[in-house]
Amino acid sequence: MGRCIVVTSGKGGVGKSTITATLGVALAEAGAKVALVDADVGLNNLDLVLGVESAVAYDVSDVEKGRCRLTEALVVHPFIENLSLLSSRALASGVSQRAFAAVISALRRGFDYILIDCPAGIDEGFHRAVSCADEALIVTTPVPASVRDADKVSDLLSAYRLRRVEVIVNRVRGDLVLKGEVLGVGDVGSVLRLPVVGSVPEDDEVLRSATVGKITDRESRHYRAICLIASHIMLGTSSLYDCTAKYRGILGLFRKRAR
Amino acid sequence: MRNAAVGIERIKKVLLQDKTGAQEDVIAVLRSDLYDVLDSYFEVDPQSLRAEVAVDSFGGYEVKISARAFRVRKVGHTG
Repeated sequence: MGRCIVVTSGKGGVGKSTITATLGVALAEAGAKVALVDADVGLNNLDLVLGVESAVAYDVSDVEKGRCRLTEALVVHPFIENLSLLSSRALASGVSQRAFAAVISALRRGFDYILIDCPAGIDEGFHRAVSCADEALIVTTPVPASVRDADKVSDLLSAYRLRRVEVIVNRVRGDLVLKGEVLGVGDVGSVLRLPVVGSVPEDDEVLRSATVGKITDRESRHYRAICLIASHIMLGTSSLYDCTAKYRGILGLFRKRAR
Repeated sequence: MRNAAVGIERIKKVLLQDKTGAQEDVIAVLRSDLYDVLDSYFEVDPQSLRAEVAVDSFGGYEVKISARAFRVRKVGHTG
């Protein structure tokens, strides 16, 4: 039976869908069979992030209404065959909690990992997504507003029977961390009192890839940071990407000044 | 003070406000229950009964209770 991990944040715009997509790619490229589920019903974007928007014919509500089989609604990624996406274009009222849970349950039988891209906010959609999951990853950025929302989500998650609740700090600016101008990854973890399993640097490559709808370059800092999170999920390792490394030493001095 | 340190203090402060604010209903019930218990042993001044909840640096709750009583009630012995 596959593990179901919900990727949530509370606050919108922290990079949750991008993290979900890239994490799915990293797990799939490590050999796992992965299903990405867009639970942001009606405001879905995971198809766009993965660059498969034109291949989506059915979605989760079509499965619920019996208009197609689950296998027909799954979009297999054109370049990564063990990565599939279940999209959601319907209005929020179109998918019931029970139907969503049934879909996740069916996916568990065919995939090693099911990553649910949770909608922002803490409304019905949040609870629908979280109630199906075994584990949760809270994505935050090192700014007070998103840490505060992550804390609220953490409190809400304590009401669910989740085996693990862990944090990914996204968009870390290593140069500013070194100067003490912004919060570091450790600061965020200590405030939230949750284990940080991912430190993902701000990377222009993410913006470039999102613009043209292709998966992040495998040599990018973003992808390498996400690979460490995938390794944590699959093997239980605990290495964090060092977002400050690029800005240390003689070369780092020039890079800091160049930004 | 560096920006990062200022940021941490701001977050800690706002989280503390969020968490203690959410406890207000609980504190009202707690005060009522405390009064009932204390009133069995003391003649408590109702205006003096305080129950305050704060969040400590470890994320736990620090509960401070104080009250002033006019006199001790005579508690009957049994057996």
